[in-house]
Amino acid sequence: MAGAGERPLPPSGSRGGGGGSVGEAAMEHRGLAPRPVQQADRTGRVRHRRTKRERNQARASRGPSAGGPRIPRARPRCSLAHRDPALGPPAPKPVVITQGRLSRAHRGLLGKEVKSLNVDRLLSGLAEEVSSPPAGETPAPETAATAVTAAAAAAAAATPLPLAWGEEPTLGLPPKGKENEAPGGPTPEPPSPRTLLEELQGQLHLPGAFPRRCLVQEARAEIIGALLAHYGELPDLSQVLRGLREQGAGPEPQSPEEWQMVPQDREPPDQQALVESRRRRRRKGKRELMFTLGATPSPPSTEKSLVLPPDPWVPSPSPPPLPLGSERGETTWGPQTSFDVLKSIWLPATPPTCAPPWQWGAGGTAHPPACLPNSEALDWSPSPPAPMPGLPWFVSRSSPEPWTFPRMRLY
Amino acid sequence: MAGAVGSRGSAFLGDFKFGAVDTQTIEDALLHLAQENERAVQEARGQTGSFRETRIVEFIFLLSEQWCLEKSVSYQAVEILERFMVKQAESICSQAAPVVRGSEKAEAWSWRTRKEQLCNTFVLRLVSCVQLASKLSFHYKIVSNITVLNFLQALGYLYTKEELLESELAILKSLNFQINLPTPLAYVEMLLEVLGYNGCLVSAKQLHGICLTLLDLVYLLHEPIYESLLKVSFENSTPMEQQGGKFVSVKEDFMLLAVGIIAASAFIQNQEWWGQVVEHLHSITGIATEGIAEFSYAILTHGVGASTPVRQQPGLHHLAARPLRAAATCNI
Repeated sequence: MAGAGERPLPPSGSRGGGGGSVGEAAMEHRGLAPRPVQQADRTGRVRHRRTKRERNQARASRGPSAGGPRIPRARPRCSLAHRDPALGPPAPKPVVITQGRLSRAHRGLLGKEVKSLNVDRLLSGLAEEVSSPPAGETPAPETAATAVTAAAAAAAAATPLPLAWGEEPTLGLPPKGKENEAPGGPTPEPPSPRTLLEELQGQLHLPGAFPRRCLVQEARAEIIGALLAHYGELPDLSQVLRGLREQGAGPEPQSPEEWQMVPQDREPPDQQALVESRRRRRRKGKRELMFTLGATPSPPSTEKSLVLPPDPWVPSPSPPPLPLGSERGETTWGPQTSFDVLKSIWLPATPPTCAPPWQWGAGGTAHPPACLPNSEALDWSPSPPAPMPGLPWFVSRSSPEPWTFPRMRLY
Repeated sequence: MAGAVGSRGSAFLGDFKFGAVDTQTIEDALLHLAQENERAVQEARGQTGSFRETRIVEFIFLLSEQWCLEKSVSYQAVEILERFMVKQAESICSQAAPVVRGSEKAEAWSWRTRKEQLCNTFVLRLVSCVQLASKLSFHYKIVSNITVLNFLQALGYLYTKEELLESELAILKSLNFQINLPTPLAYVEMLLEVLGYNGCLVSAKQLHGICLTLLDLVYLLHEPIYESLLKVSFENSTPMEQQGGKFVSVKEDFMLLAVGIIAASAFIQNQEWWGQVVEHLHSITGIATEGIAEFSYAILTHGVGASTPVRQQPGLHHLAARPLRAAATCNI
């Protein structure tokens, strides 16, 4: 997908330099050459010291230790604080080398701003040698505003602001915008995927294929039109939040025809299908999921299962919010079906109740109370119904089906 | 569910029908959607969902409308394109990092080359995503290659049929041929169906029509809506980066988005029924009513053009903000 080599490599001063250090030196040279100020003279002296004469003088002034390794002087680029002490008294304050370059006075080799594309590298070098610069070295506010990563360089002294959502830390990454690109070309370091996606969103060109269309405005017009049609004026949207407390159980149903999701001509399925459907649903009780929003602090008592209420063809006259323990649709939704009555006749040990049969106790030790009138004619149970067990009893029952439904035809 | 209804003329309202599916099927489908949603929330990463810009989504929506595609196709196309672009960005960054570390300067610029090439072929990829999404829909509404090439030619892009096929193949390979991605519309329609079976009294067809408009708006204003939701959940203070990163899982929660849209739609329909619908949605999904109200409030405020939701009751704000904040801080 990426056709490497299709596009010529962008011209870069650092690339022409043949390496990172050379490019860095070239950049430093760009920044230092036309500079007439004092700092440039100091740095120029450092470079001038590389001549043979200067080196000899320095070696002679150091005495017998002159032939040793020149490790401290191997990197004169980072800070004036690391000048060779043989050159004279050390600078009173170490100065960040990019401080002057990134300010308003200097414009770089090609007259463009040199905005700290390599500052992070310079600063990483600084970090190796200057762990904590003095507080007085922090750049001036305008300097920090101009050089983004220079400000990040001085982040040790400045108060770090908390990163907002979606923001990437700017340290180590080039700032966006053309004006922040070096004259030689873009930075070779890849950004993070999020930054790359944001860059892509800004750079992608979409042709104007659909002029005079603004879907946001159209959607808003539709929404406002619907609100005006139903309210007559724009309602107070905070009622959405207020209404949670003010609203009661909901309005009473006006007519069964209002409900359009269930076709009016739909006939209820036969009892056999209903029985099978319910039994399948009960068997799947193990895979019933509890849905909460991640770790939403909803109390467990308010979590509901996804078991749909029975008798979908019978709209509930008043659909209140499901209370605790009413997850099983048979308990509160709709009237008791004939299946429940038949079940109570077929199974003497299971009196007709509102509770689903898989919750009943094995062996008839405890039974939920009957929903039907406790008459002698209907009570075929061998023992009188026990008092209603509490919720923990229902919860503690692990066996889904303590009894087996007789396989016989209903009709 | 049935085909979606485009409020701006993508499909016909008469084609849509609720209540025609068996209860058991509805239950199984709802469970399947919930499991998928749970998995998607758990797998949400930092870059997920970060390529849903307004003009790109608008372009896809308008293109789908021009080609008389279903609304579900346009949402699917947005999801395919978003995932493809995220994959490409991740691929570019992952391949570029070792090269740079190896200091091979000649190769260090390849990621820029790839990025530019991605920019150059973006329109082709976008159209291919719409075409792929159309192939997931009804076969008689598949966008043909001739249609795509003519459209691109009208815009000044000259591609051959082979290039078009290669573009489709590139998307398919990048996504491991998994382009049948879930969309929030499926969740909305499923919940509307369940609401009907549960005895909710609000007209599902009317709710559905407004839900589509609201879903369009959420897609178009995805970032602003979720940003305001995040800020509101953190009591209008600037959330920290870590909190925002964890909020990605909330952004990928299509079940939450669906209940928020349905609740907002119910408020537009009838304020009196709004509470009943919210309670039903809470009972079905287990999402806290405060979270549903908060989401619908954010949608409605952006729907009427108020970019910043204005709080009028700080106490309620605090209560409503709690669940989402907890989701952002504790999720995943």
